[in-house]
Amino acid sequence: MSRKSFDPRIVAATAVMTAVVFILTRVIQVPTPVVGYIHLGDVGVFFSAFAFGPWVGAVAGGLGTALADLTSPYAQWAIFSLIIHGAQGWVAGWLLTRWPGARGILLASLSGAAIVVAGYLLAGTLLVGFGAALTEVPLNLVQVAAGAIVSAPLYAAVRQAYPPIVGWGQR
Amino acid sequence: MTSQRLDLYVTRDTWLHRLDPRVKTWAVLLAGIVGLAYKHLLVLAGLLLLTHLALLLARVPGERVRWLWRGLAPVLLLILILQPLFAPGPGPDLLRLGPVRLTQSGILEGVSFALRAAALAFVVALLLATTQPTALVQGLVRVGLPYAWGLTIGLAIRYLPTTYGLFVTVREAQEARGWIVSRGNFVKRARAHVPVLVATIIASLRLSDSLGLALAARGLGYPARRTTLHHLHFGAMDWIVTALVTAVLGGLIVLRFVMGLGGRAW
Repeated sequence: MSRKSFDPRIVAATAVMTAVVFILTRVIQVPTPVVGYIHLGDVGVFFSAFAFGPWVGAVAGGLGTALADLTSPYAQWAIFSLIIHGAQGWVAGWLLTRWPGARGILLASLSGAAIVVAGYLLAGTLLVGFGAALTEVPLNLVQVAAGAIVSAPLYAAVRQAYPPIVGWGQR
Repeated sequence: MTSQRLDLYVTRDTWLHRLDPRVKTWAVLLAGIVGLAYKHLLVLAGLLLLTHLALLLARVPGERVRWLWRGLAPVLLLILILQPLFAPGPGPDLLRLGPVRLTQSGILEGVSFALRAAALAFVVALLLATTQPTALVQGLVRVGLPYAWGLTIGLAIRYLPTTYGLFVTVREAQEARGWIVSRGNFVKRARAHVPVLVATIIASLRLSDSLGLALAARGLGYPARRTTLHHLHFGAMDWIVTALVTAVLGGLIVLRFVMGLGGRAW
């Protein structure tokens, strides 16, 4: 046996955060007019990225939302959710690693929101047509804004209540 | 929670259930490409019909199929209404109200998008109804997904009910203290969840710490080749289905991209 190839704690954290993102995506499913539903999954994606960094954010975000799609009547969105929320988690985590603090959180939230809105507009154009996809833009904006608004105080509260996670994001 | 169905797998012993997960994943990949590449109504309707036939052969309960249709119904209805109005396409007007035009090609395009959404949803549902999540992950690892990734997916699926249980426990405890969440707009409802989320996430992080220690105690992380308890075997039926699926769906993909067929709804 030589050196470790991967850290079991990162595997465990990624798996559990994926389950958390899944639950948040399925907790509040508000059906939307055309292409699915809005949910709290973005809170989980942003939180995973802020607390554990870009890679855990990407895997937990992409996989958690894709699994939620797969176990709902919106399975056709799973591959797009995997890519879009994966990118959202990675970019948000990377930006906070680069610029720790309030500025990083703001940048991460704005970039994550832009990725989600643009990503679903593109995916929706492919799946249901541009007209129908366009009607989802305001709803996606509300969803991702709610995710950003909730995740920042949530991250601060969890850091205070559970100090062992401090420093994970820099890994 | 609109639905608490966390697992779509239906326990049966049909030949579709016994097929190697790699065959089914391959079939879903090809069917997904066909569904996304074609706009022709006959191809998409055929794909949807075939999927339902397969669900019948797999003895998936009608209630499960109706649950999917009920979930899809509002989505399909609005695609049928909005797509022809937003993208009326060429051709003579069937109806004109100011700037709003309704044409035959627009309506056919709307039907095509609705069929595509339904067909893709049922193709994936068929895979999940006939394949255990662990077998699916094992299949992905066998075709090259890194072991750590496969393990992460497997653990995440395993911990879905546990995490949901944690969330429900915390939510019920908060509700017993007078916490009300089902009021106000979406942002208000989202913010109202913060006390529950803090407790759920901390409980999940503790779970993650224990899980990490348990994995480390079992030697996870050392670069030795890992063995599995159950092996996947590619049998004669798996080869036959792979050949059939590749010929039919692969043929359709070739027709679409090489000969340009099926790019229009009709």
